[in-house]
Amino acid sequence: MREAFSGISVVDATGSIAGNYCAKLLRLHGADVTMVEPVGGSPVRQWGPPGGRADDASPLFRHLNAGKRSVSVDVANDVSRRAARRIAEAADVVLHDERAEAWLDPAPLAERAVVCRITDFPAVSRWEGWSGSEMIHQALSGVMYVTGSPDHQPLYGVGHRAYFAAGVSAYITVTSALLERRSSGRGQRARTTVLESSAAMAQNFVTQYAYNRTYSTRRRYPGMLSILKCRDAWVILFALRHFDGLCETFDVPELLTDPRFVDPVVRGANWHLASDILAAAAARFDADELVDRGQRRKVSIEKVHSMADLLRSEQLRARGMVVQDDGRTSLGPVFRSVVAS
Amino acid sequence: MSELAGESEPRSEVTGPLAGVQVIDFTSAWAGPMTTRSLAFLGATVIKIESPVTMDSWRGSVHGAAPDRFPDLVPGERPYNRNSYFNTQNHDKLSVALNLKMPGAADVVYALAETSDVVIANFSPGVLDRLGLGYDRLSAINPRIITVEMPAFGSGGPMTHHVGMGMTMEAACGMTGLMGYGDGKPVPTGTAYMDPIGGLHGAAAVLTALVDRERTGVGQRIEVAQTEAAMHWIGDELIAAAEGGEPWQACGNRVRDAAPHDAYPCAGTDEWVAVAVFDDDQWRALCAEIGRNGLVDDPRFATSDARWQNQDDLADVIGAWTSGQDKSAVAQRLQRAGVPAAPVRNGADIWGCPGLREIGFLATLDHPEAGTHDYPGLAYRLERTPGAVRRAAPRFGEHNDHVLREVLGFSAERVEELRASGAVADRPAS
Repeated sequence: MREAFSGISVVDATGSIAGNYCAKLLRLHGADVTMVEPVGGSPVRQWGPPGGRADDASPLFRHLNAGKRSVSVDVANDVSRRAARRIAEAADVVLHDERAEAWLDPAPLAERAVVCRITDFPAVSRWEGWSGSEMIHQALSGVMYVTGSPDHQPLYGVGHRAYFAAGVSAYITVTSALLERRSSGRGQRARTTVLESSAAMAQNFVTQYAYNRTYSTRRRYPGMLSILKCRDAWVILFALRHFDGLCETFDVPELLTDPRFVDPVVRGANWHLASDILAAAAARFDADELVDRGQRRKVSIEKVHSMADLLRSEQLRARGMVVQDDGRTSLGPVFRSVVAS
Repeated sequence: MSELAGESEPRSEVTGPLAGVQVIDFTSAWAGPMTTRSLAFLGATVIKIESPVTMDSWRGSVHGAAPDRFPDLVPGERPYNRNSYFNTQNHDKLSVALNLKMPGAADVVYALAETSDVVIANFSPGVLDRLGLGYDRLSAINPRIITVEMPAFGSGGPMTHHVGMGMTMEAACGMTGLMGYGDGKPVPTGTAYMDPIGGLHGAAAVLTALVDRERTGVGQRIEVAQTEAAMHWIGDELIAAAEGGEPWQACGNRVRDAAPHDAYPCAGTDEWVAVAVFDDDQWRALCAEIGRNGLVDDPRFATSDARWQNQDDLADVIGAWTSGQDKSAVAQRLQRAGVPAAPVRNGADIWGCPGLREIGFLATLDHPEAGTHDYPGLAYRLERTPGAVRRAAPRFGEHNDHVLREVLGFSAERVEELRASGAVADRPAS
């Protein structure tokens, strides 16, 4: 599968996390990717946490763009613009945003190539002229409203997840169009927006309200979820099944016969009470020990891993998920073929 | 015959780019069904194989589920056909109910495999093989078949057989530890956000394998370990940590590169507006909008570093201005002035958003047992071969006869034998 897009040339003229992630997925599977950056470099070069080497681009930029070629375009210069256009005209896939339209007219390319516009908001919409960011999209999607404590302001989450969602959405869009091109011989124009991608991540908020005029809040998670502090770290428990195993795990057999938890319906209604009992029990264990006890009994429980935990993880080592090369770090495959093709 | 009145006719004209692709879908809950929902949106024929014994948990149980999942809060006679969770993630699919432990059921899958392109499951690693439906068995029937498994953790490590749900996978992949109010307690995302992350990567994996098959002529077995895919979404934090960078300490909505960057209270109960200021221009614009131009050069706020250091003071100033105002109006006003802002929307706001309706993100579908309602769309927009939300989610076993008789060409007698043996079911076990 690493050669799926062998022979496919991609121009990434987006300058965004979404576009860069889409192109990364294409490159990971064999495409030849050329980034077209403005003079001074893509803004993504400066985003994210600082890296270990002063001379490096940011870890975010390297994570997204390792293995791609880069050319720069000076939009004020005719020769430079024409050169960049020629590269785009030869590509099978062109990813672009509003900024690239200063030197690129995507429409004529679409007869042969797949041309995908990746932007924060649809071009013609009520959000025209809006500026997006991760928090802005999480707020619009509904996910922020339900994240956090009811006693505090809602939390947007972490990182750039709305933009990564748009990146995968763009990849799905582009690859489906490439597949269709095999039979039709024709390219087409496509688009993905961060607004729609992040809204599509938001469970069934639209449907719940449409069905019965209710909506979720931060007051209570609609499932048997507990966040528990062990002696050394936090764990998260989701108690959908195997309540007997859960009681064994926490060494609280009395819960099995407690009428407040005797069947799934009353257990769900009284889960906050169960959580208090489990919290007291969890404090007697180390997190790894409790997770091991639970997983042996098919209980869905995991330690809240820090980055340091992940870097020490035997699971990630066995899977080759953290790759070190000359002081630089990269991650293993996003998904993989089990049988060599 | 199925007892369901009015078995809906599967669509005949599909224009999406995956028209002609056939998928056998063993997935349940959210991640896997979002993968196959994406494929169906893009035009694939998705045949969902449902167990009458262990029903898709998003249908709920035969007796119902939480009231807020049902139309008008009423579970009805067959709640499993009216559950909004299931009906959101399974539009445009066909439902065939097979008890794979009964004689003859596996033969139905083998027959479907002859003409299918993709088989997809989100069982634990190894379950598909134990059912006799793994890649080795199916590729012997159809060498072009692609199987996709979506376990929580990848095979070959000590966590391979861990039971993973969305919330616990989020903790395991490192995201939850990066979120919180700064008091040391982690805060998970308010929905099982790992599921749609897995769902998107599942669809990406299927499409990659379909493209690869054009090159090689044969299928393959794909594994999408959901925690590993999600780790890429915070890959920069992991890389920075590996290279000796300072670990990120969660502190509410505060981020490294913007201040103010938070949600501020508005008129009403639990109503908020998110405001993000990334540079001095946006700061000046914000000060002008709130009528506090004097703050521009206030030493506490004059530079981005100073604003970052004095965020508590900023919160008081901005919160005093937003309180009592409508969240959408505030956001509109700030965006017009060049300041990133948005209302923190709830389900009612999103459903009522005219903008989402105008861009075609919301679709209205008529479901024979749930009624006519709006559903969210997906973000894949193709101009010449558009995908779409076309048909409501199937009722349990709704397409038993269509698939067995018309797709597979089984005789009426054979279908009735399968029903009599319990291999095919028209209703879930109680």
